[in-house]
This record gives sequence, C-alpha cells and structure tokens, in this order.
Amino acid sequence: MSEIFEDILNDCLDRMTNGQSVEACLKLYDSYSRELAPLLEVVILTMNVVALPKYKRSAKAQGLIKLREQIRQTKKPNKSLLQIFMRPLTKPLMLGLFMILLASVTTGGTTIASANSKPGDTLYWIKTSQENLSLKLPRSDLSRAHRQATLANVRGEEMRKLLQEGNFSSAKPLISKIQKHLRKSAVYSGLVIAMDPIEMPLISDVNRSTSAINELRSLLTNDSTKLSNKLNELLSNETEANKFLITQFIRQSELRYRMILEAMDNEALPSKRVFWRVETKAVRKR
Amino acid sequence: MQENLGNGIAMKAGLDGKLNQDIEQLVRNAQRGDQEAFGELYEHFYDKIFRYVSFKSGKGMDAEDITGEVFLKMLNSIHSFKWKGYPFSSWLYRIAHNLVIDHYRKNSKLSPVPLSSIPYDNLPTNAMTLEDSVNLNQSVKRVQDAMKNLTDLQHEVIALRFAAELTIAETAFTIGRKKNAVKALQHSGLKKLRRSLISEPQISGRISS
Repeated sequence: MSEIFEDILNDCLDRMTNGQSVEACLKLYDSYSRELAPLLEVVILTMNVVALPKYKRSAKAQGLIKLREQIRQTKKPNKSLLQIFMRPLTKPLMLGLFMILLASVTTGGTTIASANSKPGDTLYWIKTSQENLSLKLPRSDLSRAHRQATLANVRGEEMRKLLQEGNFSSAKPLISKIQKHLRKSAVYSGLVIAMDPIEMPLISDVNRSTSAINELRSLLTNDSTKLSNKLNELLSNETEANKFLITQFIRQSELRYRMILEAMDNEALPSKRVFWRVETKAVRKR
Repeated sequence: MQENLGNGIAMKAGLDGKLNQDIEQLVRNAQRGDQEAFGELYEHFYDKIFRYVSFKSGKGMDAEDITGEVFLKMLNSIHSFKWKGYPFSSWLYRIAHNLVIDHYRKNSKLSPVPLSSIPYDNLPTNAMTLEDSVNLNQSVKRVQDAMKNLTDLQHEVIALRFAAELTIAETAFTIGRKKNAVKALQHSGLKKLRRSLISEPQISGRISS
C-alpha cells in the first residue's frame, strides 16, 4: 500500500515538474487526495524556494569563457617527441619498447631490489615506474581490475613494512593509495562507484555470477585477510600508543576491502554497513 | 489508477529517452574534444547545477563560483567518464555534490551568509495559497531550517529531485540506491519537512492545519 502511494506521489511530482497543477493531480488521484494534498503543498513551497536564487548572467558568461579558455589550453598542439610517441597507434609499441629498455638498463639485482622497496627507498621510483607502465599496456577491463587489486596488495605490504619500522607518517598516505587501487579495480570490474564512500555506498551493476568476478572476489578476500593478519602480528611487540595507531591502520584497510567486497555481494545496505568501534581505555575497563 | 501512473511515466520516459540520446551524443563529441559540444553541455546543465548548488550551499555568490568549478572539473575528467549504465547527469551531480562538500570543509571557519543577502531577484508575484501574507524570506528560512531536520540521504534526494529536477532513475544512480528506496526517501523526506514546518511558529498559510 505504501509503495503504491509512493508511486502516486512520485507521479504527481513528475507531472508538477512538467507544469501540471496540484489540483489536476489531486483530481487524478481523487481517492488519495487527503494524504496527497498536504505533501503537495510542501512540494510547491519547496519548488518556490528552489526557484528563487538567480545567477548573474555575467557570471554564467564568464564561466563559459573560462571553460573555452581551458579547452584551448588543453588543445594546444604539443610538438614534443613524447606526444608523437604516445599517439594511440604507437603508444603500446613505444611503451613495450620502453619497458624492454628499462629492464635491460637495470640489472637483475636492481629490479629485484626495487620490487621489495617501499616509499622513501632509493629504488622505489623504479618500482612505481614499472607499475605505471604496466598499467598503460593494452589489457581487458577485468585484467586491469586484477592488476589494480594486485597493486592494492603491494601498497598494503609496503604499509606493513613501514609500520614495522615505526614510520607511521610515511605509512599513512598508503591507505589512500590502497583505496585508489581498490576503487579502480571496482570500476574496471564494472561496479558503480560512489564518489563519497561514506555517504553513498557502492552498488553493483554487473552480473556477479561470472567466474572472473568470483576470482577477483577471492583474490581480494585473500589479500584482505593476509594484510589484516600480518598487521595484527605487529601488535604484540608495540607500546600502547603504537598499538592504537596500528589498529587504526588495520580498521582503515579492512574497511576499504570490505566496501568493495560487499558491493560485489550486493550487501551495501544501511543495516549491513560496517561499523567500526575504536576500543578506548574506558571500554576495556568494563 | 495504474493506467494513469503508466501513462504519465511512459510519456516522461519517452521524452527522457530522446533527451538522453542527445546528451550521450554530446558527451561523446565532447570526449573527442569538440568545443561546441562542451558549450552545449554547459548551456544544458548550468541552470539546474546552479539551483542544486544554491539549494545545497544556501549561498548565492559562492554558488556561482562552485557551479563554474563543476564544469571545469567536468572538462578535466570527461575523458575518464565511461558509459557503464548510469546517466551522465548522475556523474555530473556527484561532482557538484563533492565540490559543495569540499567548499564547506575549506571554508568552515567562515560565518554563513545571512539569507537576506542572497540575491533573490524576480520574486514570484502570483501569491500561492501558502504565501498569501507570509514574508517570502521567512518562508525561505523556514524551509531551509526544516531541511536541516532531514537525514543526509533525504536531503540529497530532495535537492536532486527538486533543485536538479532529476528523474527517479537518475537520482538513484547519483546516490547509489535503488529506485524504490529513492521513492521512499522522497516520501519520508516530504513528510518530515511538513512536520518540521508545522511545528514552527506560523505566520499564515494552510500548512499550519
């Protein structure tokens, strides 16, 4: 019954947006007019309030000028060699050649050392360069999704190493990077992404029964579990203050993984949102 | 009754379908760098984005700046927009939503602009029943105050449906909810607004009954 009324209310709103009067709507849904009328009064009042602010035409015109100027700036022909090499047809070929060149000028040992590096290390730039190049190579969307998930795991491992060293300030930005990779993984796997994960949870827009999506889900679940376990192991030999900080990292990284996994399972309902409690001394005393 | 619902929805769906096709073509042209396409998208969405931003932020002068920023951000990010089943408008309003939030965060120390300084030009001259002897600025303040009693989602649905004039489907994509949930939020939001308006001291108007 409530759903029918909601449909009727919505239909009236659409009709009023298209110019029909309140009276016409009430006449159309005569048997619901008693409940409809007060709500439609609120609608009219709100519509009037919404319609009041007026922009200055000069502001709109200036905005358009700025937009066009920005378009001109981005369209300027760039005659650099890099632009020529990065054209759609030549881009994959040049990237591939560059990767071969990068691999050949770095010794095997250097490449291995860079693979284990973390933010702040000398060879870290080699690692990130290789990662960035690998992302630009032609791949399917699901392959990219896997790659981004792998990179999230790599960032998680870097974070663990930094936390082990007590370098909390360098570890902190890695949470955002983990989130960035997970979000990209979600987008490539076809999930609809909300810009603000706290206010607008993820919903899934794909057929989640495909084996490839399931494989990705397994990968993410395993990575999340491993990272949590490794970070929890760090707690045993730390001071209380550091334990608190590390726990924050555990919660933050679990939350990022949990959101994408829940979206894949279509469980992102308000009643099932993750609620994280920070354990304070007051709670422990109970 | 079902037929009435069906006819109204079908008519709107038909018009929306054609419009969405035009928008889709404009967006694809804009992604290819067509300057005219950007201009057309700007003209098409400017009014509604401005109304949405004004409604959310309650600040007229800032709303113009934020609206401009929305389109600059659109320009910078449109190449990454992919047609994954949700309309372009949802993507654009998410940008607008986040810019308003960012603007609030950056300017949290600034005192809010009093409503009387908002440029309310061209006030409606045809007096509605509710507005017969009500000072219009006070009505605006009442609605703004009543909106504070809504949950974030109810507020967002009201803003997107009324200020941005999005359809239920577009609103659903924008906030990441299903259509039935949006209708329920719309209903509960309006009921709560009415309760809040009734509970405030009245000047005149039917809504007090």
